[in-house]
Amino acid sequence: MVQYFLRRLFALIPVLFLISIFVFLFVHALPGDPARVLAGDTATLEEVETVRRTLNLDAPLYQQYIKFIGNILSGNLGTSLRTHEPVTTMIGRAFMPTVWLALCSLGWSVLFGLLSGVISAVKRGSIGDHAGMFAAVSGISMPPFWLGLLLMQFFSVQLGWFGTSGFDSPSDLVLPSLTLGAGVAAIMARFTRSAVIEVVREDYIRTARAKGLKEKIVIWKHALRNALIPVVTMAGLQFGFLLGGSIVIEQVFRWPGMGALLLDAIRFRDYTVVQAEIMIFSLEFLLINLLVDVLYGLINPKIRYS
Amino acid sequence: MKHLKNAVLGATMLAGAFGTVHAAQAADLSIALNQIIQGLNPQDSNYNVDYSVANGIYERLIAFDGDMKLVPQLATSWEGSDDAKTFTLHLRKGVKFQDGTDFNAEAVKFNLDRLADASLNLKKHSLFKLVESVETPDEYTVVIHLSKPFGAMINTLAHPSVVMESPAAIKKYGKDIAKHPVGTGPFKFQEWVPGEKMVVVKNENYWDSEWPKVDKVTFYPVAENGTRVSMLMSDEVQFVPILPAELMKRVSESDKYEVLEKPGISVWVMAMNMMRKEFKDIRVREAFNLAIDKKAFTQVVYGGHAIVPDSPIAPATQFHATQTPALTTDVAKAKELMKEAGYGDGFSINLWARNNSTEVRMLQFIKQQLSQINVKVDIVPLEGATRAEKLFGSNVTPENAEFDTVIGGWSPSTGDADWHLRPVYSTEGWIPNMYNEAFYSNPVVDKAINDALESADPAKRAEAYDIAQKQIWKDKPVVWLAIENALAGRKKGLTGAFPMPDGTMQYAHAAFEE
Repeated sequence: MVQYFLRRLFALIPVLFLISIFVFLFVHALPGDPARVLAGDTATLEEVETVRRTLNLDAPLYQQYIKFIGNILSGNLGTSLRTHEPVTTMIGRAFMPTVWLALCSLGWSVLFGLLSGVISAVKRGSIGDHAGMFAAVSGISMPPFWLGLLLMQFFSVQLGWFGTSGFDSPSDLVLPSLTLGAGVAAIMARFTRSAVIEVVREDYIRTARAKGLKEKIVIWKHALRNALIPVVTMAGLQFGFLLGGSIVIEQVFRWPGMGALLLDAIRFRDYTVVQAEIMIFSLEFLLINLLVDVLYGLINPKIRYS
Repeated sequence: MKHLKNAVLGATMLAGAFGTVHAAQAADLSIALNQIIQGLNPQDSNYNVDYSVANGIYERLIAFDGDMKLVPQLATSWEGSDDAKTFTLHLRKGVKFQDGTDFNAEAVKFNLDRLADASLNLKKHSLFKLVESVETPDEYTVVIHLSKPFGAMINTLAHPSVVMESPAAIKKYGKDIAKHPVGTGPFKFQEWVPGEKMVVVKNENYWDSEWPKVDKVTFYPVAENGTRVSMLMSDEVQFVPILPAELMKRVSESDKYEVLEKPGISVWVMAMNMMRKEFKDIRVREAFNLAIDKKAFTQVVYGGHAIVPDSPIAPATQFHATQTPALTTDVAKAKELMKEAGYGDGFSINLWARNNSTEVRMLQFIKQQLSQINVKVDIVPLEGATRAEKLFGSNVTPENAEFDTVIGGWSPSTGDADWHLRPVYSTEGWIPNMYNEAFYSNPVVDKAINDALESADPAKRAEAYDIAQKQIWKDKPVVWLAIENALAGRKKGLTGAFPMPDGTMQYAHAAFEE
């Protein structure tokens, strides 16, 4: 198991290397000239060229790549073209707010999604099932920026219970994680429902019932445990997305996180920041995948690693 | 249901009560900006948001009042020589920088020499290329010598980037001055968390003992329009300097807030690429101007919060002269002109703009309007950086430019006709050099623009700009669309914080009424 884990960890290195090339080329292939954007809206050509020179953007592409990969290997992500701050500082500032938001959103949405999914599956066809699935479809379909603005209008402007935006106290987490988690909760609910419906048709469930186990134990212990595999996969995937920071939600709630940072970096073609963020997102996804694989084993001891 | 209603009502009243208590105590001001702050050295920035926050920390020699009229700030008076090559400024006495050092002629010379030094790569160096030397005959007099006549020099000194920074601080911080600004203004810099907020506090030693009247100002960059308005309505901020017209109603419906509206200096046009054979024909350019209903444009795009241009430059820009005939809409005449020019059946063009909702509305409106004269418009909304590269990329030439028509707005930050007419209508201004997107070139206009710079005498300059405006109005290299009003939302009882016609804002004299 430990050996398996370490082997998987090492296998990440070539993957990350390939990703670095891909990310670098992709970022530089984006249309848009950073010198022009960074020089500002009313810059003359002369001002633009000055910016290009001072930022070394006129160097050949392979030289810029070597510098980029060299920076990564020495644990330094370069300096932002736009703010001239070290990228590690900028990401250091944005990382935790996004992690908090991701954890809170995932926490409530998985809990809520699992519960309502199981209930829907057990009471299939009932009013509760229809209501739950109606809510789930609404949760998936509702544009998050709109839901966010609605919540803000009601809870912040009218009731004054929470601040509208920003991250100054833990209570500021409530509205953004409600908004961000709504979609995830809906997906989790639907996933859990179909997984449980699938599993309760299995023979061993019939056996469990036949030997007189309580329905509660049948569902929550036997059925759910097996239904969890696809659900955990989905939760892992969603967590990866959440850690990427939601550009839209962070924009609406003025959240000082990774999504807002990425959006500004893309807008200003701040190559170093965009590259660093995408590298980090990739790494997060790879690690979460690994973690999900390990979780499979814990949920279902029949899964063996080799 | 009734219970719920009562609960909501109660909570609202409670929140209202807290809100009032909070407001009564507040001597602090919070402002929601529409963009992130790039840096706090205006001399090295082209962004209005940077100029806006710098307005309280730094001061300029000469500034603009709310209507873009020149007013004394760190200079109390000034004069230019007849040949527009020498400018003398008399400085205010008893002014100190926030680090305790003296503001005097030496400090001004230090700043101007820095701006004029090409090797420092300051973004606003371009405004000071003509400065040959700066003399300081006494502690409170500065004489600027130019290598060539430049009649717009006084307005250039009033450009929001031309602030006086503490020489001692610049020596101490070097390039990092953009993170540690030290000026002479009523507010001292305290903290900047990039992308999150910036805080300035009262400068106790400000030269005008009457100001400032608030203790602390906090700026939040908030890109989302709806969030800015929500922050205002929940009293988290008291001033929103840039308010989109579609959200105005939400603010004006409440009796606690007010909408400020001011004529702007940003003129929106649709430039016609005159390298295309169709647009070489004045009849086609005139037909385009006649086909598009400008009054309707201001309604559709700005909800009426804009005016129809009456000259290539805005009324609030210095040396503006109203032109005749006024812009009209006459589709029948436009059709006739197209027929005369041999395009009775029309032709196809592409039309470029940014992909924000305002400009997309412009695209759709123009497409519809031009279909009346059988012109088929292929609209091309572009993401900001992509548009900048395709339109002004260094390798764009008049021959290979891909656009037929393009929408753009220009606001002259010096408030002077020169910085509108030269970049947008002179031959020297052809893209990618500056912002003449029509590739318009008329020797009469070029000469008038240059003549106007030969003198510092406003009467002589006005005469030259009259000629330029008249000729451009006649040649119609662009379709003049609208001059956008500056809109802002503000809490009632707050004074002295207001939007400027050039897209920046002022807060130095902010005060809460008792």
